[in-house]
Amino acid sequence: MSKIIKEEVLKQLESVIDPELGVDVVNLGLIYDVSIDDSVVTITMTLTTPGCPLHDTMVNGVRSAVRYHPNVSHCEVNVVWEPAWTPDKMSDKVRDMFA
Amino acid sequence: MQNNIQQSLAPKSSDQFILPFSFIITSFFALVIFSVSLVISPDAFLPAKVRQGPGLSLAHLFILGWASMLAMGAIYQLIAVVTQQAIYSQKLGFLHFGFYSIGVIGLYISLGNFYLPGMITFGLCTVIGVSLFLFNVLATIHSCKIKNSVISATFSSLSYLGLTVVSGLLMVLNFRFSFMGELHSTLLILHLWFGLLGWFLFLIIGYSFKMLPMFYLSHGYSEKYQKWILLFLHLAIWISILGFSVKYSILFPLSIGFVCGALWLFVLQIQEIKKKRFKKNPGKGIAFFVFLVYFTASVCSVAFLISLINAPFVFSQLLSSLLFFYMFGFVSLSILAYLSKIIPFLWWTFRYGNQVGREETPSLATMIDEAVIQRKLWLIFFSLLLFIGGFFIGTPNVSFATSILFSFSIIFYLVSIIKAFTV
Repeated sequence: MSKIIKEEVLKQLESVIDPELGVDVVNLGLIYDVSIDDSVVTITMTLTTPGCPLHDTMVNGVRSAVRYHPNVSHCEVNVVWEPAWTPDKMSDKVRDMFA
Repeated sequence: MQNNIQQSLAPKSSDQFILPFSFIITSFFALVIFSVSLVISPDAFLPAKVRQGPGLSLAHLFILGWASMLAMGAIYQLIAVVTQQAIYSQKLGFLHFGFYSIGVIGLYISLGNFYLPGMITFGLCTVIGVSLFLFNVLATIHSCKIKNSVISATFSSLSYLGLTVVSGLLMVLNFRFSFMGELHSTLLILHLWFGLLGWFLFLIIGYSFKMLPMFYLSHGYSEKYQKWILLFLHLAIWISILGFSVKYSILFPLSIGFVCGALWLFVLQIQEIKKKRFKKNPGKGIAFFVFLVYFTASVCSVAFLISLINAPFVFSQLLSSLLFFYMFGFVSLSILAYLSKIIPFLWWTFRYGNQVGREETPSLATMIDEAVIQRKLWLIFFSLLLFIGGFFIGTPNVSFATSILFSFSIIFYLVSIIKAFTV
């Protein structure tokens, strides 16, 4: 099986859009870590606020997007609250969009 | 980083949708029936008639069938956001829906005819429904480890809802067995205050503590005013009740003063949130809600100043108009304004939630025309002011015209909200 490259996974994740903000999870800075072990990918991510109403939708969306990669057999998504998300974590491009 | 992993909040997206949706769509029907009935009986809320069959019937339909029904649906949708865990029991939620809907419809019909057996039977159904709701949500809060002002406000709101039901039940029993004598009037005040100020105001303000920062994308703001707002609201309710019980009139201005204090502190809390906001536009509906808070605080301040000069005038001449503006203006318009966010989100989650990460999905902003929403909210607002003004003029033709305008503006707004379901 071909190797999975982290950048490819991040590219997949750019298709997961927060519907309230209209921005993808990568540029929002919600993805904290991508770890790859053979064909298993583990995503560590957060949400803009604890108890976000989109919790399940975003987690399932991230899982679906990663599994869309042909070499991924399983995707684990861990949602964490430490460190807490702040607007500083957004990419410059997105921050300028809101400013 | 790995020690604080959050599990899923709810079992299935369809379950997350159907329970709140059942309440919300039923509340829309209740609001439409209310609007049509108001056109048929435009004088139902005139001071001389409000405690007669049609007035009581319409007031209960509006409060129980529209505002409370929708608030309950919103709680089922948002309790996971507040407590960060799923509702205690979805099945109890549906049972609540069954009892409550039958009770509210039955009460609407039997109150209109003052048919006592119907009032008792359907009142009991409503009580069972509300009791199931209270148990379900309080059990969710009980198992929640988070302690903050939002949870505290939700708990207070539910407690006052319970007290509203108990006082309402005692009133119905007193109609049948006449065992309370002069206490009946005091009980009516208890019923109104627990329901209008306790249940609705704690809920609207408490949920706004959580929702406004989300819509403004605000982080790191001060929460210093929140506990004082809740304390002032409790004091306002109990001081007012004490004032009515012992007929000590100096307590009435004090009570209005505490409501004013709570509202202005809420304004300051909103300012704190806005200071740290990252989004300039929280949505037109939410911006309208913020305006409504400022306006209501101003109206309350004027009432407070007048009450310091002439308290009896406020309570004999102005109170019904103030309560009318509070319920049909602040409470109902706040709910309608929040609907511009709740409905697109609810429908989007159901319709597109499973497509995220697989296919392109619309943004929430494209599901509702915010400029139209804003215009129609203003239309309801000004129609309501004319409707209240019609009370003072008191001529049948003016009441009829203003009630038609007010009813039309509500239905006109609902049409725009319902359009979100077509995306």
